[in-house]
Amino acid sequence: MSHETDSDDLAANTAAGTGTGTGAGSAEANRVGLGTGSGRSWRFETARQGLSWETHYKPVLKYVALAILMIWMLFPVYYAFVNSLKTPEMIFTTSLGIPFLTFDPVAFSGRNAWRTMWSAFPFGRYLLATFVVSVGTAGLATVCAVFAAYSFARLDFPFKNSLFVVAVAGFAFPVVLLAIPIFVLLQRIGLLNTYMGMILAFTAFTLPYNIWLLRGFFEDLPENLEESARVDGCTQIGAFFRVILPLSRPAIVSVFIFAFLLAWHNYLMAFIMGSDALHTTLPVALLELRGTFFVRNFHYIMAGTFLTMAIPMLMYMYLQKYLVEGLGSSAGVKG
Amino acid sequence: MATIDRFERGDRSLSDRLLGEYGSLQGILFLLPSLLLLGFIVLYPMIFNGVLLSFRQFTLDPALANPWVGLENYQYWLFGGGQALFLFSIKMTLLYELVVVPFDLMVALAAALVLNETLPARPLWRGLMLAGYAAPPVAAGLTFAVMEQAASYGVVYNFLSMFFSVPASGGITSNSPWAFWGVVFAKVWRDFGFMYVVFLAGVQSIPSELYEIAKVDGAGPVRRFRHITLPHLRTIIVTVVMIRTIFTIGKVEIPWAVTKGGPVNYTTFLGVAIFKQGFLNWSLGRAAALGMMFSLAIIPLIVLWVRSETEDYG
Repeated sequence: MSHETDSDDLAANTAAGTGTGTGAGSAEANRVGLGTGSGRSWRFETARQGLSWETHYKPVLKYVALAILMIWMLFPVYYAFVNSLKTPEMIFTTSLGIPFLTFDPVAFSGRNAWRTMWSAFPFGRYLLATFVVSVGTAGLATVCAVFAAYSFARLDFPFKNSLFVVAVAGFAFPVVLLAIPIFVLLQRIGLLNTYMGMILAFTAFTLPYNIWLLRGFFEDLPENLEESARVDGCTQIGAFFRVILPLSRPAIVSVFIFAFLLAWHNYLMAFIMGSDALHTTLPVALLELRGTFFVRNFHYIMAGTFLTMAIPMLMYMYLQKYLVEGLGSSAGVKG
Repeated sequence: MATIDRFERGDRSLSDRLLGEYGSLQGILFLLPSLLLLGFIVLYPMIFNGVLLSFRQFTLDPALANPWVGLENYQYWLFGGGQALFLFSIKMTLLYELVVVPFDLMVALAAALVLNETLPARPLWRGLMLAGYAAPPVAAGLTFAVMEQAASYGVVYNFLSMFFSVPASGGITSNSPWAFWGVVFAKVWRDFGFMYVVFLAGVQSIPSELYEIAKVDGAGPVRRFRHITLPHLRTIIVTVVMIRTIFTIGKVEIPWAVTKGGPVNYTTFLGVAIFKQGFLNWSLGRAAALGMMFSLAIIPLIVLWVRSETEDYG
């Protein structure tokens, strides 16, 4: 859509709206013709209306809305964090369920979940497994996606479009539909309960999205970049490594994080492929914890939940700029 | 590039000369790792194992044969013992989509509009709105499950029971109409971030002069929203709704973490049904059959989406 048509549209609408009535009342009232012409110009009147929204309501309402959104968004995180600092007995006496952070010597002594969770449950091992799988997936997915996306964006080969469609469609395919065949396959070739199997499978699931994202980015780079590089004496492959890759650092970083987060978030495939003690990732461990001793281990569950949420959240905060660019371009906003 | 070739043919490197000869080779070569992975992990199991599996009675014991049972697995879902769950599950999945996607859309649009205003420390707020999207679905679901218990710590339960009579035994997650909403809350909290980011980018791309003109012409905030913001976001909304619809349909994590598909089968959406059948009852053949039917239903949706995404591409 072009801007001209929209402003024309708008002009037509406002003309129609304000033409029917003048005088007192809001713009809506004007539109239905409630105003019967008080002699004052409609321009003056409605401008004053807009002004009152701009000067009186909006400055207040936007803070109210922001506060509501923020409370809604952050409360579950706060809830998990504060409850993780308490003992189960304290959690069971919360009034209304809104926990408050109070300094309590008992809760901060040896009974604190953050001190004992590592020995009560193998949280250290869960954390390690999750990190190994996530970093491995992110590394492999980024390397594969960079080459594939460049290939789709700039190179020519037979069946290019059909291959691209197949590659992207894979992303939209629900993981649960593939879980069973992949489980059987990995079991047959002995990759069940191995980091290798998990990383390969996770990479295959995150790859389509990464390729799609990076292809968009490569296509937005000026066409003549490689040509200028070659005039300066680079080979075509040299141009890719020395010019295109350094320029694409934001996109590559965001792809890396996306792949990392997808692996970190993954429950289903992790549950199916890494069900033994050594390969249990945090999300899988959390749901197992929930099943056993729900009441007595309440603070451990909250601590584990907060830990599982906090690490990817910190990454998001830190690298927000890249991610927003990546997500924003992904739904064809640029197009 | 042709002109360069003509002038510099003399001192082209080996790699360039090879590329000149086998131009399409590089494309395939660059693509190879991804193609191998996708083919090996996604396409091969899907086409061969998935289809074959659905015609077998699968047991995990390698000593036992996996006998062919023909269409029995399909019969189970369509006419046999699984029919009631199958139909109910389809109904609940559709309902879930119809509730979650618009809910997502409204929250995300509101958040994008608010965070597009001038606010102090705006980048911070914009980042914090993504907290839910950064959280693993299981962690989000579990937190909501805890908050929805009927107990002193169940904040959502306590809040809701001020206005509605939620049964005290089992709280939100174990009583039939409420469990659905319990899942929806967690789902929207976790997932609206994607739409929010896309909408934020979309809202930012609207030229502010349009709003200025509208203000001068006397258009109020409602009219500005309807006649400037919405028309500008129309294509984005269509795309994003399509993406979310497809991506919500087979997701297991949040319903599983919040309610485990219960009470009984009330929140057993199609994805959850496959998961339960496959990895709880270990009847992989039946689960695969359900998966195949689900795939047939969802593939047209995916094709539609991919078409719209790549239409500039031919």
